[in-house]
Parts: sequence; C-alpha cells; structure tokens
Amino acid sequence: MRQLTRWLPEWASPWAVVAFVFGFAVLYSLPLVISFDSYTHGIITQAFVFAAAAMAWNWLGGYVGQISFGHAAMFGVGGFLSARLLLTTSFPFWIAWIVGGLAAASYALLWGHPTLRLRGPYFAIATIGVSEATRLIATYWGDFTGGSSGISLPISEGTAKFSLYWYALYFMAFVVLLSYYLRKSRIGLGLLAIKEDVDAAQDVGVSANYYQDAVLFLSGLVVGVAGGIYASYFVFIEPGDMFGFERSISFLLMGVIGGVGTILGPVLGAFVFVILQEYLIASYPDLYLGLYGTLLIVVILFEPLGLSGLLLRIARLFGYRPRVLDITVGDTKLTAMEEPEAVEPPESDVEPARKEAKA
Amino acid sequence: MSRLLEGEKVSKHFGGLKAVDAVDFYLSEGEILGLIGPNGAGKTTLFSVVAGSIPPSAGLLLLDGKQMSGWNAHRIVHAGVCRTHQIVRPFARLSILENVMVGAFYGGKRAKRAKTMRRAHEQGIELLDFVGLRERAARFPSELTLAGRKKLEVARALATRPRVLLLDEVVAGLNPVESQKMVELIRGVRDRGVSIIMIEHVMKAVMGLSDRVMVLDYGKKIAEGNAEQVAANPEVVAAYLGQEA
Repeated sequence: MRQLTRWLPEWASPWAVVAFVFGFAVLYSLPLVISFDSYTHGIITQAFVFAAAAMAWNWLGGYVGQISFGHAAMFGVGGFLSARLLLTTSFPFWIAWIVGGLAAASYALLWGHPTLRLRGPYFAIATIGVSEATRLIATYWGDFTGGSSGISLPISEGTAKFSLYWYALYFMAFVVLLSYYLRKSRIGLGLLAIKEDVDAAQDVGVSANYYQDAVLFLSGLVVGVAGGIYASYFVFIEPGDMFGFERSISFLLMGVIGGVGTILGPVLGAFVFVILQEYLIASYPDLYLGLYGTLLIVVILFEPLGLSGLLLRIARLFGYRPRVLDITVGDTKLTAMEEPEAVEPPESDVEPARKEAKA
Repeated sequence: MSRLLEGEKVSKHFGGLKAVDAVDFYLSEGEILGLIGPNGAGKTTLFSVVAGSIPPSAGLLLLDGKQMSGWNAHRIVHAGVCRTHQIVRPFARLSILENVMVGAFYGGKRAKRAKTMRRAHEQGIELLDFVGLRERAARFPSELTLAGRKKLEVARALATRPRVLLLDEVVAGLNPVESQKMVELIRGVRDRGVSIIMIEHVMKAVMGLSDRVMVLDYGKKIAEGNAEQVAANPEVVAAYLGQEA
C-alpha cells in the first residue's frame, strides 16, 4: 500500500484505487462470463451511460451548487450531432461522440456563461427556458433532427452493438476518475467554497466565474458524449425524447436519489433509476412520473443525502465511524471524530434541491 | 515610507446617493491606517470598492503605483489586497482548516500559491496557530464563538499572502479580554509585514493601534491625522455627537 501511495497523485487514496480497479475488472468481464440477453445488455449499458451523465450533472448541481433543469439540451445536441456524423461520414464511433460532446459543451458555455452569474433558483429557471427553447428548435429543424419522426442509425444487433457495452464502461470509468479528481483535488475545495458563498470565495482569490464556466463545459461535454453513446446504442432517436423535460429531470433524479454532492452517489442513483424505470414503465405506464415525484419527496424529506446517506446510516449501525477529517501536524493528531453526530457531513447539499422540489 | 496603496478621488454612487464621494487616501508600507466615521459614512463601501467586490463609479486605485480600479475581486486578491467581512462569512460546511486552505490555494501570486494539499495543510495550520485556533482546525466554523470566527476570517485572509489587509470591524462585538487579544493579533499581523487598513468603532482599539486615522462622514473625508489630532478636530466631534443647535 505504501508503495502504491507514493505513485499516486494526492487526491487518490490507495483503497479507492484498489476498489476502482476491482470494480472495473468485474464489470469488464461480466458479459464474457454471463451471456446477457439483449434486454439485460441494453439496461446495463444504459445505466453506465446515465451514471456518467448523472455524475456530470452532479458536478454542477452538487459540487458547485447550481441546479440544472436543462441538461437534456446538451444530451440532445451530443446525441443528434454524433448520429448525423455516423450517418454521413465514416468516422469511428468514438470520434463522432467526442465531436458531439464538444459541440454540446460549447453550446452549454454559450448559454451558461451569462446565466451562471445568477444564483439560487434563478439559474435553475434559466436552464428550463434554455432546454425548452432548444427542444422546440430541434423539433422544427427537421433537416437535421428528422423533426418529430426522428432519425435512425444503421447499427444492427451484433458485435458492433455488443461492443458498445465496453465503450460505455470505459466512458463511465473515465467520468468516475474525473469526479474523484474534481472533488478531492484543490479544485474541489475551490468549488465547495463557491457553493458555500460565491462572494466570499472571490474575496479569497477563487475565480468563481472561471471555475463555474469550466465545470459547466466539462459537464456539457460528458452529457453530450452520453447522448452520443445512447443514440448509437438505441439506434432510433427523436427530439421529443432526447431534448425533453423528462430527460432533464431524469438526470436530476439520479443525482438526488443517489446523493447530491457525493462522488459516487449518482452512479448508484442511475442504476436504481434505470431499473425502476424499466419496471415502472412496464407495469404502470400512466403512473410512473407520479411515482418519481413521490420518490423525490420521500428522499428529500427523510434522507437528503439519498442512497449515499442511507448507506452511511446503515454503516453507522454496524459501528462504522466516518473520518470527517484527520489531520496530523508534527506529533499532534487532530480529529473531528469524537462526536460524529454533531458534525455535518461536508458534502451534504440539500437546500437547493429542497427548494426545487417545492417549486 | 513608500506608498503601497493609493486612492485618488475614489467615488461610489448608488443612484443619487454618494456613498463614497471623491475620497483621496493612501497607505504606506508597514502602516496601520484607522478608518472611522459614524454609521452610514461609507467606510464599508470604500472597502468593497478597494477589494473589488463592487466597481468604483469614478476614481483611481493604485497598488505600487499600478492602476487596479475595475478589477475583479479575485484579481485584486491575487495582486495582494485582501479583505475580511464585517459580518463574518466562513464557508460553513468546510472545516476551519479547509477554510484557511482555500486562501492558501487560491490567493496571491500564482508562483507563491500552495500547489499540494500537504503544503496548504502546513500553511493553514501555521496560520491557525498564529491566530490561536490550531486546536480547532478539524472543527467547523459553527462551533466557534464570534471571536473565533473573526480570527478565522483573519487567518483565511492572511492565507492569501496579502500585502494589504482590509479589516472590517474585527474588534467590534468582542468582550474586553477578546478585544485585547485581537488588538495584539493585529499588531502581530503588521509585524509579519502586512500593511493594514482597519474600520473600527471601538475607539480604544483603533486609536491605540493606528499610525494614522482617517474619518469619513456622508461619504466624504472630513479629517486625517494621528489619533490626537483627529479626536480634537471639531468637525469629527460634530459628526459623532451632532452640531449644537
């Protein structure tokens, strides 16, 4: 372990790296060991893609504290642009996705640069306007998006589609690393400062505008690529689905279910969301949105940190005491462990979500 | 003594209200300048303008003779001017040490900033030791008394390696023992080579500490000089106690 620590950057703890490598190996070999039917294969691939998108939503909503109701705009831009590229050029998948992602990120910056100066609910409201406008433009721009009948990609069932599982896994793994980096490095501290008090952060030298723009750009990039992979896997896309308000809400829900502001919560949230969605749509096609609403209310009322908070609570029952901070200076060791109940977990951010839920 | 920070005809208007009206001031290297005046005189507004929290309506701000008016707050911090807040604004969900580390990571010239967690840690602990909060490094700001939070504001500002520190009422609201400690702390800050402008209502503190005192009233500078001169100035007395009818 000590050897490993020396080679790692400061923000990566050795145990996290071991867990990451192990998890990656298991997920990588899963389809080789068990033969999935195409339905299960689709659900898991979808969960990987949405996990990445939910983490990207969480960078903005959880790390910086700017709740977005408009991430479908970037999902759609990335999805449609990469689908068009795959239709008209002979680019390999990954180039089309990255081009789509970059376009989505630039688009995010275009409307985000002015609107990120708004705080609290005002930014959230602006994102609703942007995503709805984008949806309308996409629906009426039939030459590019196929209008309300959408477009289909010539990707048939088979090895190409089967390999998308691993592409989605690489993508998710990369986003997990980025999530860790954005939280645990010095940048993470700056983002938390911005979330706590943007003016005070600027008064100690944090360039809040720059960091917020940068996080939105990265977030848009990841969501755009997610849209591209989604389009490639599901072959048929149409604007109402890709750009829809429900799509935006789904990213928010994954974040909230998993735990807003936590590092891996959104991954958990995405898996739960995808499974729930498949089950609920199949069983109660008319009710499922209402059930999501109920779920949101339950989470926010009883466990604001979502599943992450629930897991932490269960772990506490078994005697686990999280180390909030562990500082060693010279010979003195300072810890904040003595009264864990009295110490709020630093990553909790419930207020914005709570406001939105009421609205 | 060379002039480190200088303001020429600095003004801030809010609509028709002249909160700060053509104020000239300067701060020399190693000096403590007291800034006093009745409530609403424009002291904090002047601070906000100097720190870049709000842009000036008119006038020039010079640091080392270089123009810096109209810069963003973070850029002014990078240049070496940092403020504290009258109503303390700690990052509530960051530990006390992390609060200070933010300053160490992001303040001052790029080359001098902490690059690694370890370095920021050390600098944070050193500063918390300096202000007397070292034992509480792993705690959260909400667990501190007002005096503690004001010390945290000072430590966080010092972490940005300022050449000029703007202290906004760091003594006000403290009990006599705490006030005495804070006054010693401010002297200690100056001894570290930081020049200070302090707004203060506690006359004993500001008169005892300041090399020079400047008085604002209705946004205008009405007096300037050492503590005795200012206290004897009839205009200052009138501003504080009111004119005889």
